[in-house]
Amino acid sequence: MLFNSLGYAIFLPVVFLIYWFVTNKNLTLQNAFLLAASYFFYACWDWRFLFLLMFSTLLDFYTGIKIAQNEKRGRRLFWFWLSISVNLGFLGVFKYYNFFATSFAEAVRHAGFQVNPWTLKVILPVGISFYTFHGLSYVIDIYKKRIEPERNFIDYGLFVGFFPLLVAGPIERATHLLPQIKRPRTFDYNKAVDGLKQILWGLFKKIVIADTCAAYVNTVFNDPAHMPGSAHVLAAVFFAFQIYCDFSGYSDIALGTARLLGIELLRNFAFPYFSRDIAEFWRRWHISLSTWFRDYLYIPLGGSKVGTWKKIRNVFIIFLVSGFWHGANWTFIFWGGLNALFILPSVIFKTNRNNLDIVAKGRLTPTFRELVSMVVTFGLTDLAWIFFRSKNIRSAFQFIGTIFSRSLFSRFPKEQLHTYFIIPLVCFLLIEWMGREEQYAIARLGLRWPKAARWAAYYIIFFYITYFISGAPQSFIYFQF
Amino acid sequence: MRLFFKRFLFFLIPILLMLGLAELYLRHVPTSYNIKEAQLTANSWNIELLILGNSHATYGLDPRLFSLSAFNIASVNQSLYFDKRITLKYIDELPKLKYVLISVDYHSLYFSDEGYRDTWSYYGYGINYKDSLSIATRLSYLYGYKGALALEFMKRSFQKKYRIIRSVDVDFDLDLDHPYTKGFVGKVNGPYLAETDNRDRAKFFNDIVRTSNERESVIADLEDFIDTLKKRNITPILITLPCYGPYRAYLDKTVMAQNTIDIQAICSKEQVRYWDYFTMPLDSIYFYNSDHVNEKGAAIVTKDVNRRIEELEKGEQVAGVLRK
Repeated sequence: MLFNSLGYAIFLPVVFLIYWFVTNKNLTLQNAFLLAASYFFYACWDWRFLFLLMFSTLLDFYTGIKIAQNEKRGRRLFWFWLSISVNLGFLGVFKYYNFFATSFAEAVRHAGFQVNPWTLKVILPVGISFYTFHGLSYVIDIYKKRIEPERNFIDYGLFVGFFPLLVAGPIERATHLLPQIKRPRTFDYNKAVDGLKQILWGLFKKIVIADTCAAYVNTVFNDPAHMPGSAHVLAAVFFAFQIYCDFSGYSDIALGTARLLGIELLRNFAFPYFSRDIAEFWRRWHISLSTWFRDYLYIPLGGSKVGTWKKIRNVFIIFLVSGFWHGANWTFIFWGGLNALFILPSVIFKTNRNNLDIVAKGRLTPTFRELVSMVVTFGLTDLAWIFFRSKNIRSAFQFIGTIFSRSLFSRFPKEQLHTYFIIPLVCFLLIEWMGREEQYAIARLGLRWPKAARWAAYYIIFFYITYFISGAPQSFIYFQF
Repeated sequence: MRLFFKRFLFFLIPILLMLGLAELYLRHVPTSYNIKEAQLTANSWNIELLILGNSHATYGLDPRLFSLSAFNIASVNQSLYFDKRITLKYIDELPKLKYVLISVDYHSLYFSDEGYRDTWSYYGYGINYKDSLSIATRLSYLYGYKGALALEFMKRSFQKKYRIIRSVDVDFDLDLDHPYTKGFVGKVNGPYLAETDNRDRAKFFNDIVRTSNERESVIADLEDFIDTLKKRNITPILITLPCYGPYRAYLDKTVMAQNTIDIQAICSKEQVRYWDYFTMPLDSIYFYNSDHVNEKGAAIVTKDVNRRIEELEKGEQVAGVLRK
């Protein structure tokens, strides 16, 4: 069930009504209902993988208790590593086994031997990277004695399987979400309206911007040999918009949905393309993953409080692992490595925390210097996205090569461009800029306007969503991770 | 909570009202599908020759030029799957039907679903492709057509184009000046025969063929269709329509060779005729684009097909006399 499908448009109101009208008197019942709804939501993709999710949840729930119960280090380590290895084992088998098998065969072939690797014909369980990370952080936190284990399985199950975040995050922490699950929730009008607005904006980003950009991006990336350099540039820029609007659109819908149910999820995006350097970009992009890697990998490795070489090592480790987390392909690893290279100077020279506030805070326009910084940062990010999107590293280099060929100055094909796309695209950029100091772009849009004007703005957004819906609902990019 | 629901419903009312009106309106829009369906059923008692196929036949065979009473029920991207089911749906209402021209083109044996046109065919003929359409699509035209197309329909209505012509293609590639006659509308614009167009069109079809795994099932379905027609004493004739020479050069030669083998095998197994106009030498002025003839081209092809049908008719008459 996709957030942008008719099924979800029916599922969400039904859940909302039962949640607030039927089960609202009893917290246990409310959480049990939410867990059942979440499992139903997940089973709509493939009910068989529901057992994997349940097993993973049960394992972490049980090992969490066992770690806390045992004072002896050896026993604690046993349960800790059992959980870690099983979780990573599932991830390894489903997500990375084929990559390692074929990469090994490729390496052996280069050495002059012929090997036919045994590959698995399994589909990747949707959301496995996300719920595995939920479980990992929970078990690590218990092991490190940062939190107490949860002893109510329904509450813990909901922490891992809460449907808005189940398949593509945000990657939650037990310290943030579990207390909300355990607390009675009361309906808040302002929060509910805010949630609806964020869902509306998420749908706009996904359906109007991301899916429309995707049509052009797919045409160029699938047949780059017949496309001029100008089309390559446009496709690269459009892919940057596509992946941002796709993933942040998803996150907006997830956060909005949770808010409708009285739960606040972690913010995942904070207008990353308005960043003035790569370090700022990574503080604003997929925040829940970046902070996860910071807390559970970067800091345990010593973070930035070590010597220069170790600092460089740590930066590369975190970005390479992050790239690998995205997918079992060398392109993702290269993408991670490239970002590590981009961010390295600021880490070494300690300028990575120069831009903590949003650009041009309290002002309408940026300074010339800020504008140039934003354009350069976007350019570097976009260069890395080319590797992220390409089939393999060779085709990514070919793609970049075509950009810097003479065909850069020839006319790009317009067939895949929607005739009226420029209007919502410009509006989108303006609204994102105007709303960059808020949680999401339309959070305060028109709050000082007359109600009719504000509602008219929402109707226009709704109109564009309906206008740009085409064919079957398009899946979200991050579902494959 | 009450305030939330009150305001939310108040907000939804204009949206629901607009959606309801749009739904009502779209149910009454004349599309090429429901216009063809209406014309077919209105004249079914008289039709002797039925033209089936995709856009090649839609624009390439003009039913007005046949000596027999003919009707063109072909549509853009219509697959053999739909050809068969549409014919069988109306066959009992076609008492005089003697010939069925089945267009078998480069990619015909390699696809059965029509993509988003499955929905349009459903609204026109009520045929649900392998029961694949969702309940929402079947119930709501607005959902099925999607926003952009629905709005395009409404825009044309405000421009009063429907009042003038009363029938349009449901696609964006429209020929609004030409109403359908006997299910036919010819292409008058073009020719669009640039080298890149030829290459892109060929790539489009090559991709369909190369990614397909439907060949065997489509052939089996076609053979079953031919059997059914023959049992009803209707003569099926396979036909391939002309394509522009430079465009043909971009098509996959192995596929063309396989097509020849497959069609010959069907013809020999089912004892049916095959009229191949694929390489018919026609100047560029007779083409609309790489793989479609225009109205003038359609006239030339149709006249030749008609000549062959007339010969068949004479043969039938002679055979009838001899049998007596």
